[in-house]
Amino acid sequence: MTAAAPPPPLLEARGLCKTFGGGLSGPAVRAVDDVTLIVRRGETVALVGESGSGKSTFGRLLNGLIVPDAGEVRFDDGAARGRTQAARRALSRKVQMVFQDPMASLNPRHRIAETLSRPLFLHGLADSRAQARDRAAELLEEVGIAQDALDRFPHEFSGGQRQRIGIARALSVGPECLICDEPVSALDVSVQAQIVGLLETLKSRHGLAQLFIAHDLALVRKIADRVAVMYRGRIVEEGPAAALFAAPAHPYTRALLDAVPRIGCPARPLPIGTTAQGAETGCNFAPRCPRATGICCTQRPRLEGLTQPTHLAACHHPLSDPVAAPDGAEGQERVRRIAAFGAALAQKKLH
Amino acid sequence: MRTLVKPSSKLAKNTSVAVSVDGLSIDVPGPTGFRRVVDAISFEIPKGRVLGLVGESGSGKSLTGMALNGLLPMSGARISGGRVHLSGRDVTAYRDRDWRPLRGQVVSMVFQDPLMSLNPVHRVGRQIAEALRVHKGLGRTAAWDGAVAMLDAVGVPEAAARARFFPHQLSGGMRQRVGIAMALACGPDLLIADEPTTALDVTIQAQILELIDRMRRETGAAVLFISHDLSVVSQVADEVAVIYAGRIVESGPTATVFAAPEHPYTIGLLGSMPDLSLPDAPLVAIPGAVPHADAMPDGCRFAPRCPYATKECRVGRPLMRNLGGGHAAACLYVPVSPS
Repeated sequence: MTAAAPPPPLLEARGLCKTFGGGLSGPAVRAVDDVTLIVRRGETVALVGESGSGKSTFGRLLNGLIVPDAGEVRFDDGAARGRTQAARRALSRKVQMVFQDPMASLNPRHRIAETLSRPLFLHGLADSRAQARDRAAELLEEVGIAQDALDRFPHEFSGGQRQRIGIARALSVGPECLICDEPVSALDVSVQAQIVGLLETLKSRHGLAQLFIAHDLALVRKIADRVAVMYRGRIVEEGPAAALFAAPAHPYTRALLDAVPRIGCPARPLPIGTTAQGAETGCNFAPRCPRATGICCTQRPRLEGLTQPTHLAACHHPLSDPVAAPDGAEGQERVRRIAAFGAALAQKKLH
Repeated sequence: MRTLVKPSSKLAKNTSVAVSVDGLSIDVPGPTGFRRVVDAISFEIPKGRVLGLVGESGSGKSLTGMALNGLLPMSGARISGGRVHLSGRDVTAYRDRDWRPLRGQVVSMVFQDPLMSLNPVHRVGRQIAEALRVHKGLGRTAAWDGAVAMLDAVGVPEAAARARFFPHQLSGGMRQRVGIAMALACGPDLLIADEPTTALDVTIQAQILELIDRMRRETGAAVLFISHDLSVVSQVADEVAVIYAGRIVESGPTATVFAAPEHPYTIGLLGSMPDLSLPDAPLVAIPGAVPHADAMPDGCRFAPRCPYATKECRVGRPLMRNLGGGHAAACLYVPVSPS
């Protein structure tokens, strides 16, 4: 830990709630239930959770794509508060989104130049078509796409290229924070690392803060400064990535980590059940939790600091023992070969 | 340890081999006529063993799985070369009516999304029972009891009650258990699992992987486990075959291949995905993209993306080289010299 004070919050969600359904469409689902999260300038915060945990809804609430039932989003200490159209537009200029499936998020009938120019006109960042086109060309270069792409359509590109274009569009309005919602999970494995590398480069070049929504914990460990784990609409654990991965405090986080397949490690059977319904009162995870006691079913645990004040968990019975450090001995030769492959690539400049 | 890649003319008669594929090629129709998307691949799986077939989208891994179940005509594709033997019988030229008695009994399939393979208007128990009635000639009651027992065996809690559920009433993990129960109901020699956990959450995935492993031990079925995810394959497969652009580029015992990968594509693929156990391992990105079936490069198909490629790599198909212990790789420059 350095003595320097942490940078001020850039994007701040306070007590966000969002409920879907109710009425004729079936029982109401509390997709996001009183979530507070801060993203600081230049920081990558990963939001992890399984499908249905509410992580994507939270991302959409953050940049104003949907309006919360309760709570507020503050940008740069109040610069973009409120629920008016103008406030939402100001927020969307500073907080941009990168979506999972670029085929679904790029308009198939617009040429790339059009797709990249629209946000510029919308936010008054370009005066003429020529100016917008020049800016679009710059953006494509930044994300590693050839200039002739400007006059082509999304279907003419591979998945990885489309995702680069989606990132270029997000960058077009000069955001300070990117919300990346599963940006690589629809891509081929060999292309995922390219996109992750691009996001890392952009982060350091522009000092971009990132909220990285993902279910791939191995990837999150590689790129995140801080991690928040979501379960059924609530954050159950949050902390610096190193601390959280070394000693997960919430039984759900531990179960999640244990379930991730690792090369060379035999799968560990899970102690948790599969009960679908959440609890009415108390901890949402209690019905599946091996450590649950009476209090877990009656009293909702608060997200509180543990031994480190920056490492929070919402659990009545947090775990304190660190997970066994990976021995990794038999992975050494693999790592050596991967490193040699990477070095050879760098030498050949195939990138 | 049985070597994966070898001519299988003799082995085809060996009934301990559930499936043997020898030089299989598959063509699919395209705008300019048929094009080859699976190019002379060979492997075999003994009973009770799991072969992981790993590749990216467009590698031909799913078509290979479909060829072993007689489902190719559904996509307009056709076998254009090689031989497929299932439990000793040559099924290469089988038509749909020849396949029918085999499906379920000799070979069956588990799909990525069981919602697609289950009939939404029938109770899940009835769907399993139907297979038992058709293939095993069981009566109505016996088949229903068999279906409930099968659901119980794959770990569906309160199986008797759940058998009366419709597919949409079950969670994704439960549906996949039903899919596995249905596939295994008639005791096939070979189970083809095509990305069976890709649509599932990670905690559910671990349970399904454990189930597949347990079922192959209990039933003795061979499993062809098709996936793009190396770490998932490493959990279940005894042996692994890595397929790139329609060709197997490396194969061998899972532990050997992952501990000391030889083919540059395997190395790059492993480098592209972070491993939770090795947080300090570098993340390397393979440049470029998987070649399109219309524009396959000459020579080694990975050469345009390979940092080690030379002029020689651009001419002729590199043959599988035996590296000992059942490990083989199709690269001119293997084995990698330890430095």
